[in-house]
Amino acid sequence: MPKAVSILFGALFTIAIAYAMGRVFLQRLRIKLTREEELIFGFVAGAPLLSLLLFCLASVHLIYDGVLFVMGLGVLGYAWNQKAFTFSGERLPALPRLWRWTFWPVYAVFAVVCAIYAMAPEWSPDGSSYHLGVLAHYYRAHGFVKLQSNMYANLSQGVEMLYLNAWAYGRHSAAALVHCAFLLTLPLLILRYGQRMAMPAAGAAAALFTFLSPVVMVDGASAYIDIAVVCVLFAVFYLCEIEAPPLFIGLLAGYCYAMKYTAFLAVVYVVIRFALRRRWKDIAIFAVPAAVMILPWVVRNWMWFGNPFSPLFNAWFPNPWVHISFEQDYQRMMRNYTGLTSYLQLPMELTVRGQVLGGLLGPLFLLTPLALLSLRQPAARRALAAAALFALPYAANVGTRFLIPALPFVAFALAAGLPRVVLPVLVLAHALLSFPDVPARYADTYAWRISSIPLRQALRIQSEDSWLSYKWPPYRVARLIEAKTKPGDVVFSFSSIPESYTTREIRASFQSAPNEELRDYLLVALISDFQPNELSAFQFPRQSLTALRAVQTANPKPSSDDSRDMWSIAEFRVMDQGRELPRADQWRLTARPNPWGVQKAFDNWPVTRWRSWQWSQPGMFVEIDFGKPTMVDAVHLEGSTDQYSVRLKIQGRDEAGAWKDLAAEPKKSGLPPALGLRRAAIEEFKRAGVTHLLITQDDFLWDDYGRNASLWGIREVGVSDITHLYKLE
Amino acid sequence: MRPALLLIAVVLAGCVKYPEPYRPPIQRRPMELTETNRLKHFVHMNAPDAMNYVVADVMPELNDGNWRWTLKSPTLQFQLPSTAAMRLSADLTIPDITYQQTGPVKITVYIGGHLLDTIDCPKPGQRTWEKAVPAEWLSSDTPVLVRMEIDKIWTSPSDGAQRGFILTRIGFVQ
Repeated sequence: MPKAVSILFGALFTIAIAYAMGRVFLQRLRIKLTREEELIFGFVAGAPLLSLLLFCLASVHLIYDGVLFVMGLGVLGYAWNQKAFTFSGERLPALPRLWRWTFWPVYAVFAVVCAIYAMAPEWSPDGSSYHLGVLAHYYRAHGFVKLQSNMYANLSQGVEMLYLNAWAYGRHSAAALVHCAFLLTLPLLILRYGQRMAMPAAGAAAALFTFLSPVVMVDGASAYIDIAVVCVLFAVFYLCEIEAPPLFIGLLAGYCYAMKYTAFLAVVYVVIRFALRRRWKDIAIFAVPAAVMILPWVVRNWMWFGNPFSPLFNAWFPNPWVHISFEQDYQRMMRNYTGLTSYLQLPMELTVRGQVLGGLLGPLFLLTPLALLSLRQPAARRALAAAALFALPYAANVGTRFLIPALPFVAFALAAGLPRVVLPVLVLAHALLSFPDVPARYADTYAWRISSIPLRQALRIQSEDSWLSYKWPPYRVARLIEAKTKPGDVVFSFSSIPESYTTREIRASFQSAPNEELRDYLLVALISDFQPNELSAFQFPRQSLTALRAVQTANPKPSSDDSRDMWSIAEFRVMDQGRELPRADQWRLTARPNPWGVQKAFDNWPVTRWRSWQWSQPGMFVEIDFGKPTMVDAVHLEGSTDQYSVRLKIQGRDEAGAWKDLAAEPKKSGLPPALGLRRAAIEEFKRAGVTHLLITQDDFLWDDYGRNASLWGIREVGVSDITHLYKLE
Repeated sequence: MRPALLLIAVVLAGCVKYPEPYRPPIQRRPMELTETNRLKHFVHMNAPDAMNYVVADVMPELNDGNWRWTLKSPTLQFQLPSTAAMRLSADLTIPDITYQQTGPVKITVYIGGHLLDTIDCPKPGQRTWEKAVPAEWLSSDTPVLVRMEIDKIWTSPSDGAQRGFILTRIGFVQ
């Protein structure tokens, strides 16, 4: 089958199955909707049902092409048999003529642009790396696999489940087209909402304000999930406005969580709305389908990763798969984008420039404050309230994409607040300013947007491989890996790569706790401050103890640089009369936090170290239970100097079981830098199953790997642009 | 309110699954259970056994818990576990007080009888110097002698005491 046909088939088949399931659901529920709403909500209601069905199939490892095809045909046949595709509702009042002639032509032109872009080879960063990378693993494994080395696999994947069905037939672009279906549905939802509220002009204008926003178009035409999320969020709002059955609202609100954690606010929104009107019974009914959509992801994560909300809330649910420090650093980083020096930059960066925050909403949204003019209108007031709620996650991540959930609501309020006569003018101006590649005239060069209409590539007149090889260096890296490694090989990389374009497992350094530990081994080998070059000797009167602890006592100011220090111990040695006690088999070792890494402080291996993997706090400890009374008089802690704020004391437990302080002022001296650290680091990689190392010339001390390849025990097997692939010998 | 908070605390406490304490792992290399005074490949001047490495011209007094004065030709010995891809590394300081009298100095470094490098010190201050050492100059069987010779030595105007430079750490790294 020609590639373009298989892409279109994969996407349209998936959309059709979702639509069929949705129409059967609406038929069974006997919801009173208009014809136009039946069409839109058919797809929107079917998406969670198909997603759930695919979750079940993935759970029992039945993701096979044949199963998916038969399942799809079965759903379509059943819906046809049930006459679910028959429209039963009345029509909405017609759009005013002006808007008929404004909305549909503009919508159609941009819909075609977005569909072509979505059908072209996928090269979005997140789409090609983890949204599709993870599902490609599932597809190859015929179902869910526990990917311990990629925390993105722990996120809820309600949209990716739909992509999984499309992927089976058309791979990347079919998945992107499914997302594009949500992009094309969203403006129709807003339009129909306006008509329902007897505000057709506001609805039509808001629909196009949202749809034509450059960041919305490029996101929705890529294998991301944001537009699917906002589409269902708006559907939840819409259904609340028209007093739809709580069962239906619950299905969609629960699906919001299944699509993206932060969209859990949909559940909060509905509960608030119902609670304000004391609809307690409706809340109970609403909770059932919401839970059905949410719980599968919660349970999966709890069973596999010890954290129902992994990769978030790791301080509440400590686990060995995602470090608390990762979350702390990530939160800090997401509030401080490179290039953003002041929050006063936000309005222009968000609307006009678009490079620093990863996309632009369009200059139209500089008018956002005028949305307040609509406050006298109840529908717009409710839209603004929803916008305020759904914008809350923006406080944690100031990227432009994270404002998209609030955008349709803001757009509606803005359109409702402005004089009707200016709306068509604004729509046309917004369309003009957003059409590819007009933003090049005012936005930053590298602002994320649709900058061309790649028709030849979408139709595969130019092949995917040819185009991506030409225009996108990360693709060349993925192909290098595919060419130079064997099936089953595992590649460690400091940064993420488009994993969906290789069948090998990629362990990107930041994507899980085990990967961060691998990165630490490399850095220990390279950075003197990370090496165990310092001995802290704690001396105390000789005595019999049943247990010993090193306790961290410093409490740096939360805002200081010191507050981000992590405590570590390379070797914890217990001494008596100048001799180290052998680490007896009856000893028991633990630590808080990170008990899973405690053995690294007792393995007599210089490249490994126990780390707190959490910013240092008083009360953290590493503990040895001797199992029997033992005479000791000193503790020697070997460690690195990259923990400036850390202060320690030693506590001992006497035979009566009481803990007491033994020493707090260590005598410090230097230790010889360990030799052979590079080779030791690579040994740890081999123990972890890693076979290759991917080093780019942007990585720290990248040239050391080539220059000292024999010391590392690695051999270069390929180069692509600035990226070198090494095999571990 | 309180019972609710208590319930939340209990539920959340139940959420945390810590593993049972671990046994000590297999030792990745033999432990040195007796305190030995054997030489290694590197020494910090604040190490308790630092003077074992000194053959000549390093003052025994430890200053600020961290460094020692040298004289004209500090000489130290090291035992290397292997000879491949070694670099000699030293943290040294030309203090203002000696610089005012000597001006710029040069320190010549020898490995055994081989001239390794000459370190130019045109200004006072601390520096970390490193230089690769040919493997054939080294031995893992017998101690390796490292001699650093400063061209101008400082003499105290008050008591005639002589000083070379400040040494903080020195040895072989990879």
